[in-house]
Amino acid sequence: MRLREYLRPELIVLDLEARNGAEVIQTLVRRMAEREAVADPAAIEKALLAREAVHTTAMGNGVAVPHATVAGLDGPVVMVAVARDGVRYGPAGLEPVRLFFVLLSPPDRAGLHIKLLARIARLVRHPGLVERLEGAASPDALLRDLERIDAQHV
Amino acid sequence: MQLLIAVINQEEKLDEILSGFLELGITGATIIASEGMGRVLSHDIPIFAGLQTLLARSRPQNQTIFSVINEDEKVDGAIALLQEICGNLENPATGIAFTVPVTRVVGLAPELGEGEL
Repeated sequence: MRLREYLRPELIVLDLEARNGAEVIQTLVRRMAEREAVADPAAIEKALLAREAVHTTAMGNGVAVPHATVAGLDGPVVMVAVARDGVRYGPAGLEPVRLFFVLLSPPDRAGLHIKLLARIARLVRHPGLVERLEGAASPDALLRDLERIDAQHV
Repeated sequence: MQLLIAVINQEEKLDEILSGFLELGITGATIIASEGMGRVLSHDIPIFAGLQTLLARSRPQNQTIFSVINEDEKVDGAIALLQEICGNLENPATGIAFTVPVTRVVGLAPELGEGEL
């Protein structure tokens, strides 16, 4: 399983600014729609918020992985977003989130969705990953860094 | 088909290992809290009490993973993954992994399906 197969430069956001989790999701879904990665932003926003309501996807290390399965996608969509100032996301007491991986999959690709989640969960433990990605000067630079880290892991 | 048995001394690595198993398509495993021989000897048998040679090779507790894996490629991946996360298992106090052939199995969970979550 390699994450790089699912990464696209147009779905890298380096300047995310939001005041809370709902704004994060709204902003990122809007960007996905602007880049024509998704067709029904309202349904996606609803699905991501519903998932967050079950349990936060903030991992407590400055990373969150909002994710959901939604109808109408041809395959998995992965967006990576950097919020350099950090956003309060999830329960109080968690470290502000500076790096978001948003994962969307069609409902009939649950197996792949879980594998991608597992891959992301493992890669974000890579020492210094958040600092490295938030220091990226461009989407291409971030992608290159992330691909290098992806390649270092089994 | 093989049975992978892995004893992991760094308990805190367990969730990362299981996450990696999912990536490899290994969707089932049994995990048992366990204790190494060195620990038992040095703590429970008075004559060996406090012997640093034994203690240095042990942790208070370790985790033993059992997983029946139906493809050799996945077994190779799992062993590589274990060593990426835990370090070289040849080093003392990291753990041990080995496999034995399985000739018959009943109740093996299928690979993750592509249906609904």
